[in-house]
Amino acid sequence: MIILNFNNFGGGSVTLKDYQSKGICVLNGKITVDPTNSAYITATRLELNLPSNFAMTKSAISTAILVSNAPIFHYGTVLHCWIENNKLCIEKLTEWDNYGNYEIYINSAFVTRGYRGDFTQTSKKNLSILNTDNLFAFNQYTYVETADYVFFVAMFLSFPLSLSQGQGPFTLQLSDFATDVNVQIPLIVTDANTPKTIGTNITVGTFENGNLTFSYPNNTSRIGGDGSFFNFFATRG
Amino acid sequence: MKLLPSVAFNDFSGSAGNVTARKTGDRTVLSTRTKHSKKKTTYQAATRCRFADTVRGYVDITEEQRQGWISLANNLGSYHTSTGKEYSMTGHNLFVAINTYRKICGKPQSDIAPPELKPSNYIRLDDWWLTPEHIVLTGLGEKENPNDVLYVEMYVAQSPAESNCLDKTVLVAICPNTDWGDIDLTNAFIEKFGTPLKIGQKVYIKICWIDSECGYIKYYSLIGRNAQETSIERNAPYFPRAKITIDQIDAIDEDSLIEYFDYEISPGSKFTSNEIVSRYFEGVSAGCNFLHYGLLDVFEFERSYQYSRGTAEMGYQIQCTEVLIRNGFTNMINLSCRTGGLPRHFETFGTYYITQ
Repeated sequence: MIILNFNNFGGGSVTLKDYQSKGICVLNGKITVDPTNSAYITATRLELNLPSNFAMTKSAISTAILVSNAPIFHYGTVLHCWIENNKLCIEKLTEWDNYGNYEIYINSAFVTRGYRGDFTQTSKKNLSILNTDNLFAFNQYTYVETADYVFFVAMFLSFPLSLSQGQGPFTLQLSDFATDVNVQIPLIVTDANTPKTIGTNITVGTFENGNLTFSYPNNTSRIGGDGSFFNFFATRG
Repeated sequence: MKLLPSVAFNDFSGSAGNVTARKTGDRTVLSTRTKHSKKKTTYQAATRCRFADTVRGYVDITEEQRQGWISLANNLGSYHTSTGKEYSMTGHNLFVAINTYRKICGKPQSDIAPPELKPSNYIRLDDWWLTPEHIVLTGLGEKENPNDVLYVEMYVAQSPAESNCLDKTVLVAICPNTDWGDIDLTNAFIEKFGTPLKIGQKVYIKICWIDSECGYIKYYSLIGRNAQETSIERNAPYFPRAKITIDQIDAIDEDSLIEYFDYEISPGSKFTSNEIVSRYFEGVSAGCNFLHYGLLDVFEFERSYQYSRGTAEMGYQIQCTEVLIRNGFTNMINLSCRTGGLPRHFETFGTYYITQ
């Protein structure tokens, strides 16, 4: 765990799970942003001071997910996120500021560049969906498991749709997903028939004991379905 | 200035024509007036013009500003010339010196004396290539001071017998940043010297970090090596980074356009970090294809599933996009949406695993 006590947007301390090495760092956590704070209003980007002994002072571009406080659908988008001068920097978008405090989820890897040399192929690991209710089916997925962190991106052919399956909670049961990963991740829960809005429908799920659990808000007209997906790095242990 | 032993003018001091006599101890020394080189190149003209402008600039500053330079010069104490003579730095000299470096580094003239002066510093280097095709230095690291720039002078010996070349280097490049520790001087070298290096030619490089605001050259790394086919430190063939940029792409086809492309592979096993912005012209697109010329043949099929989003006018909607780099048999970049359709104008970015 690392604690980031200082930032430029008037937020409180932020605790992130971390894996650090010279070439790759993985961070997991949630940042709460108050868009009415005067420091936030004047900031052009969000900056959080990393510990002085953090392994990386500069990274290539990575991502974070903005989850707004918009009623029901929590519209949001993906943000640029990177490390610069020992600070965690996040792109500032103000499209959803009128809905009040919003959250930024960081479940990302940060790497350096400039390598010249040989590469090896990434080893993937197979997973199976154990659910027997036919609520879930992979379209495509990639799961990479290392001793220190995992990477998981999954797109679904079948995924709970609120119109027909209700609000949940739903649990995606997986074989062979690391049971020591405990992380909250944004789920992109929109399909081709979702009305176009500013931002995308998002709900937040939790990986714990190798399974993913999530719910949809009450009064949801249409959320979830077969275009849903997630994409994250998470530390282990 | 050339020093000549005096025989005839034992008690004479003053100037006559191009000759100046002065007393030094119990000797009279004659020196000839310094003349510009007769060579007239664009670079020399620009250098002289810059110097003359800077010298004249001192006349135009206010008396208060002038006192600031004089005060700073007084704090510096004295310095010794190559002949051993001790001089005190004047405000005028300091103004010209610092502003000359500022102009070289691309900064405007400063009328106000800086609060401090910063000497240049040595560089560290991992490995480097001096070949006809590549003059590339790696492992220079990140600058510690945001105002620092890399100051690079070079000289190529005209024959193997030419010696004492360390003071013949000329400015070749000012690099505001390194590219993750690398600088590529190939084009700057050809621009300065007109032709590529030849194997066996001896190259002298004077290089340092200098503060572009208030720096002056004091400490620098000076290296002289023969051009060779392999790297200087590790004797390795030139090996480019696994990287594709917008200038290595046919960025437009009949349906779509790549507006920005910056893609690189990092080890451990294989990660990509990238930023790509694309738009298509009409209709709904499931994907777009572009030719590239960026990667070595060792890369064949580099696929990453990553977040993308519509641009602001497209409402920032999120998709999952497959970025596929085919290399070898066909050199294609394919961007395709795996969750519905791509917005007409979208960007994808981030750090992801590459899998096959």
